[in-house]
Amino acid sequence: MKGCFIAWATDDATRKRGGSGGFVSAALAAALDSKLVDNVLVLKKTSPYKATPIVTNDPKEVLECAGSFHFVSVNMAQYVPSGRVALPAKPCDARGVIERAKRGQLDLDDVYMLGLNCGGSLHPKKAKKMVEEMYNLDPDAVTGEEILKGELILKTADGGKALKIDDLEEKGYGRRESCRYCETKIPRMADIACGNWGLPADKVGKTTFVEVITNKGEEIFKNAVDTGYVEFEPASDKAIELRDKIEKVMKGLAEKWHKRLFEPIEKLSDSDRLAFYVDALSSCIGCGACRKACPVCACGDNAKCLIEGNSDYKIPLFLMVRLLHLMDSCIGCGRCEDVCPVGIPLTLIHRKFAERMQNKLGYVPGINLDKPPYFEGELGEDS
Amino acid sequence: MEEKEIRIGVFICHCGTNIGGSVDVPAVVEYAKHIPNVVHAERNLYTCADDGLTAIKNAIKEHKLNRVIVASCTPRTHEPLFRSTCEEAGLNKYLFEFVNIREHCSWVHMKDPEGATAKTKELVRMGVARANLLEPQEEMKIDVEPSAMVIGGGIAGMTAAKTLANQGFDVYLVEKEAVLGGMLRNLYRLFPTGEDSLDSLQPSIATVEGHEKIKTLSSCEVKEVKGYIGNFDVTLLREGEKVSFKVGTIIVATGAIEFEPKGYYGYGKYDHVITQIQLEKLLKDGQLKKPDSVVMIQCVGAKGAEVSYCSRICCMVAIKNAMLIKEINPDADIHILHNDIQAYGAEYEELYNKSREMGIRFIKYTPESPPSVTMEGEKLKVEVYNELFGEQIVFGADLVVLSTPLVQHQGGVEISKLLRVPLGKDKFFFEAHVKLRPVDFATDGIFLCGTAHGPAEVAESVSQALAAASGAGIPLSRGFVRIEAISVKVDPEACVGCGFCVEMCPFQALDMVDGKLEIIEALCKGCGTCVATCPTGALEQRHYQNNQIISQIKSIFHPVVE
Amino acid sequence: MTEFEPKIVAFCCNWCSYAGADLAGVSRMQYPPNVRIIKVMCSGRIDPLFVLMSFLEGADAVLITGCHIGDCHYIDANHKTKNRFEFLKEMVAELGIGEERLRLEWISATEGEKFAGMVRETVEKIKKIGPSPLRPKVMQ
Repeated sequence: MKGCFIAWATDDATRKRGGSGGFVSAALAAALDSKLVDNVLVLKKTSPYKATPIVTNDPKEVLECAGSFHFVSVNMAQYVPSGRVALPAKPCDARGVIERAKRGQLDLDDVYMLGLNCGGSLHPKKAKKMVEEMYNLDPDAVTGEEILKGELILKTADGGKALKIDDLEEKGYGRRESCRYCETKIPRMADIACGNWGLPADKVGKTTFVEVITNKGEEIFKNAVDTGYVEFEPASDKAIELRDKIEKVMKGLAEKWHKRLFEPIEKLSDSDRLAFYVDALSSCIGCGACRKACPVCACGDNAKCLIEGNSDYKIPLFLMVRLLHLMDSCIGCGRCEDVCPVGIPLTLIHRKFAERMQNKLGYVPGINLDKPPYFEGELGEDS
Repeated sequence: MEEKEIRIGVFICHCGTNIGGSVDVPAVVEYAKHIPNVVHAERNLYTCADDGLTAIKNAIKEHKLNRVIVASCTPRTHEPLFRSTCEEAGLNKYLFEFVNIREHCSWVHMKDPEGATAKTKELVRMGVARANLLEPQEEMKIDVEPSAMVIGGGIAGMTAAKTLANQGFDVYLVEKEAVLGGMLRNLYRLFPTGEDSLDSLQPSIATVEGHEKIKTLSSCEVKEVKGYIGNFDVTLLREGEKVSFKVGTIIVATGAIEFEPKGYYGYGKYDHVITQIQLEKLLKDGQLKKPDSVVMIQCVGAKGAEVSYCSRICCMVAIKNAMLIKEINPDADIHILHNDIQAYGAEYEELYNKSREMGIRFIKYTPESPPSVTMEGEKLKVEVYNELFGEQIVFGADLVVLSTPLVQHQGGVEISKLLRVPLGKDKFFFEAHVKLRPVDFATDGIFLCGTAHGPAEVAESVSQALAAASGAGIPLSRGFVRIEAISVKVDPEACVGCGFCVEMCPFQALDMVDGKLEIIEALCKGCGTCVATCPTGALEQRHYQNNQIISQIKSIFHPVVE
Repeated sequence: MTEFEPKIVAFCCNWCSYAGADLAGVSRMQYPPNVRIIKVMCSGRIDPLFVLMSFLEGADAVLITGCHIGDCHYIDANHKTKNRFEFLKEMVAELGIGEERLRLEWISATEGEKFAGMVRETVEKIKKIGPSPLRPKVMQ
């Protein structure tokens, strides 16, 4: 049963609550119901701008959590509990999960990832400000949000308002910076990839385009159908083509953003680039938030990057070591930048270092269980 | 460990003028006194001499030192000495720190006393930084397999094997040829005594082959050697079959071969241009036709581009063989063309003089204008520029004998790789220290002797073999060795179980068991590769701890003087 | 003003490069006194952290040295050194502090001249390009 389908929750309430036919929530609930997994990790929305990852074994609670949610910057990888578990996973969640599996933090065989296509998410704090400044709405009046055809639509009790994401981003709002240049839009490293890309116009909002990728994906999809939680039909060739086309457009946009953000640094002379790094990184106050938020880091409280340097270092030892350790493993999720209290463009800098190494090695972290090259015995060629 | 005040004693060695000649030692002592935690600093003419060692022991008691630093030569030769001195005074030897201010400083900055002194101060400072963080260690005791392997069944190898076997140890004598004897089998008579080589060789072979403690493994090649002192796992290949055994120590006696002078002086082109070994064979088999005129050319291929060294023994070989020809034909005209005769010691000098009395003529040529050998009719024609008389001389010769150096062979190179012991610039095996450890390798438990080490005559090879056997016998008779306490350890609280270290270990000493890292200490050789890999501080190497190395780095840049 | 004297940190392994440095001394090969040797048992012990810290402390160059590939006393531990060096090299390049400041050399126990030559060359090169831009302000 691998391949592409159009699927939806059979339960009307879930189907309505879900952003796109409620398939993901229904399949997660079904997995719990038939004890395919012990737990489900989902985001529980506590306000339009806040969601908390919860681990639950109650199918009802899972279904209540259904719904599209873009104002979030959490990475789910760190919250995966032990035992058999299913979770919805954006590409960076899925990649984080895989990197943590490499570091012995979880067993990938136990984790069912229902991937979510992702064009990017918004930082909740910035989103709130955007609602006021750009939409001229009371942030608390927003009841829902949806991204469709390049527009961010905010729903309120008395209707809604749509603005072009491009315009929002030109004004400094919109998606998190790392999302803009992220080129992983469909999480093919997950067990199933779900989204609304490729759906025919009449099915948008009512169904989910589902690609079943792995055996585990097959298991969870089949279970959802067998238990009656989900119904499906095959995806037409046209739908598949359309999805590919959208992915391509999204990737193209990401490339443009990449160029726009990275080229200015690349163009700098050695000394100017160093000045840029020193200037940015020396404002670090050493709070360690970036490390704690990093889904790849599994080093705990005795991480080597915590070894003390001197206060007169031009770049804190902490960041130097992190830059090095993440050169092969940074997945570009953007969490470090999200949480930095002094606003260091950390993800951008990490990516700059990581891309150099990852391109050289032809290594992409978070897509399979290949060992990080830093821990390899040797790199390809010999001296 | 109970926390107590750190009290460091620093001993700075003049090493006669070796250090004192370019380093202002008194100034360094003054400097050391002002480094925090240094409670005593002094200088010694020779810290390694009796009075120096006594000074250390006295100071440990008098000043209640709990760390000792000696700034002198290299730990590679003198660390064991100073460590045991500390132990004698009741200080754990891992609380000793060595600072190398001779090999790494005074000797390489001889023309820069100011720079050398400033550097010495910093090196001492780095030593103190590290000493502050040193921790006492306990060494693991490991049982020694009471047997040895000798690689090479020539006179050196056989001597070593006999010596060890007579001490009661099992010896595996490995020879790649089908028979024992090595180079000596090809030789005729030996200098300076003139005795037949077989007279020295046969009794040795008989003893070795009849010895109940010696297992001779001929037609065998060493394929793999794993392990370490006391516990080497050896695998041989014998006619395609694997033979495996365990030994405690290893002696390398793989010998050397004669350099083949292809393209030199018509060798390979003219039948009557031969090497000394070929001559010995002719003499031995009685095949040498009574020659009227013989020319020997010394240093063929040696002291030049291909072989840079003097092979030491070829002059005496030539003299001896020339005299043997004289015995066959007293009227033979014999010329030895050389660019310097090596005839050291009374016996060799005497032989040289005797050969001259016998009418053997010596002509010195210069490497810039070497002799030439051509064919004229049936006879060889040798031309040489006599440096002494400043004239070109031409002889006819029935026989031209080339004296070529001994060189390393492919088998030796392979053994070096297998055992991970180094070869020198001359491609011969390289000892741990040219003077102090001439038959040891830096790797514990492996020794060398004979021409594997470089050109040597029989007596020298035998002396080396006796020395190597004596060294190799020490751990065997003691029955155990102590393994340097530099193995790694894991802090289970800090280990997050990523497991990346496991595959880093070249010795499979690490293993993940139920998500927890386990270390098999006996397998750990202390390279520390896993420690450098560990993304956390969970793995540590004893005596090479992260904080110790970091303190050294920091101290380079921080003049922490009171 | 006195000429700028580079500070160079060299990590040497016990078996090869440290012994090579010893041989340079025994052979009285002369080189400038700018290098500080830190001995480890194997080049595989050289944690990239040590290298980064050396630069942050103010090293104008860092030399990573060990046994030749194939000669490592610990079988193949120096392959890992090479691997980590590749990471450090890219890091130094991206930082823009001058790639000449980081060097990996395999030096055997018999290559005293190679050790001396490496130090001479590095000192000369670093004198030309000047102090490391990562030197802490106090040092500059």
